Amino acid sequence: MAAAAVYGGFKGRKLGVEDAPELQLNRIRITLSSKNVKNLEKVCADLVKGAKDKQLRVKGPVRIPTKVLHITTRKSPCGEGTNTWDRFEFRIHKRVIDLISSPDVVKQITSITIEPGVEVEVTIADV
Amino acid sequence: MGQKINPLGFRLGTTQNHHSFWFAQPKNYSEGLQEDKKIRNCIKNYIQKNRKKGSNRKMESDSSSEVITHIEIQKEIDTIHVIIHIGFPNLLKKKGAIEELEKDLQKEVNSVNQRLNISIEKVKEPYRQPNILAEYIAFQLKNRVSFRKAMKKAIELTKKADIKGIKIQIAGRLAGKEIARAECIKKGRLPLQTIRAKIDYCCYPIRTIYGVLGVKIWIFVEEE
Repeated sequence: MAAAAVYGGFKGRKLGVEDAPELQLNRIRITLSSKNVKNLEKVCADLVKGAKDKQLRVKGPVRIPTKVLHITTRKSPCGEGTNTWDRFEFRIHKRVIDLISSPDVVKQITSITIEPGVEVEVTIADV
Repeated sequence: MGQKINPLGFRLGTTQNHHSFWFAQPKNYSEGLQEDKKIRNCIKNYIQKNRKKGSNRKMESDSSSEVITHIEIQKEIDTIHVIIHIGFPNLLKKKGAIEELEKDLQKEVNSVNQRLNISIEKVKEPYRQPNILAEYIAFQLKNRVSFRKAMKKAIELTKKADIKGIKIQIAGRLAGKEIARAECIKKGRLPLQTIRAKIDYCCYPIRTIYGVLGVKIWIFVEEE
């Protein structure tokens, strides 16, 4: 709030006025990663909906190509026998959502939708 | 035998859910795994400790003792949810028990940022869970009941629960004999190759004075 007052530079204004047009607009990038697609898509949809309800500019969920990590382990607990290997996959799905708004609103939105198994990373860059 | 795949692992995408449900980048994945392992060990040790304490005072008929079916762990940004599924939650319903558990767990897991949230769920039909049956058989075998009787009694317990098929296999030094063998009893159907069949499995080691007996129980619950 102090930053807003300094940034705006109007002397007559009170600190902490919420709907001041001088509020910093930041470009906020939310990166969601997860192992399973259903929960991820749900969180994406919730975030986009929440942002549209507050009339923010949203750049919709960008689907980054899935990374498939191959994890190969010996099946045997000892070294004996034909060398059989298990081939496991670890699929990482990633979605990116861009918002243009002030950071407080974003904190509200991200605190609402929390699903297990989805990792949320928020980076803030000034417009 | 070496050729059968673990039916839980086989069905992980479809009829079986993961017990640990969280995501971490590959860099931090191993720490998360170790945390999980510590949590599970801590809970099991706690219950074993309290069971020993309890049985010093009175002889419990072990069908009323706690058996953990599985422990679900879900990790979010600031909380770890631990959901313990238990067959007969007697011990843990005592007042201080959950707080003690929380304290123990917080010591193990160096949770700087994270709150622990432990909840207990009672399993709906305990005799449908292979873990509970395995504990029952273990108790019987420790009391020197003949193993075939123990297996038959376990199968009788499941008759009340709705089960379409069951197979119990015990392997090792049965009745203390020198030559180990494996015995198994089957009832009903058990389609292990059908992925949409919901099959519960558990592998439970029993320590006897002659060595370790391995009990494997497959239960065919329903077909999707």
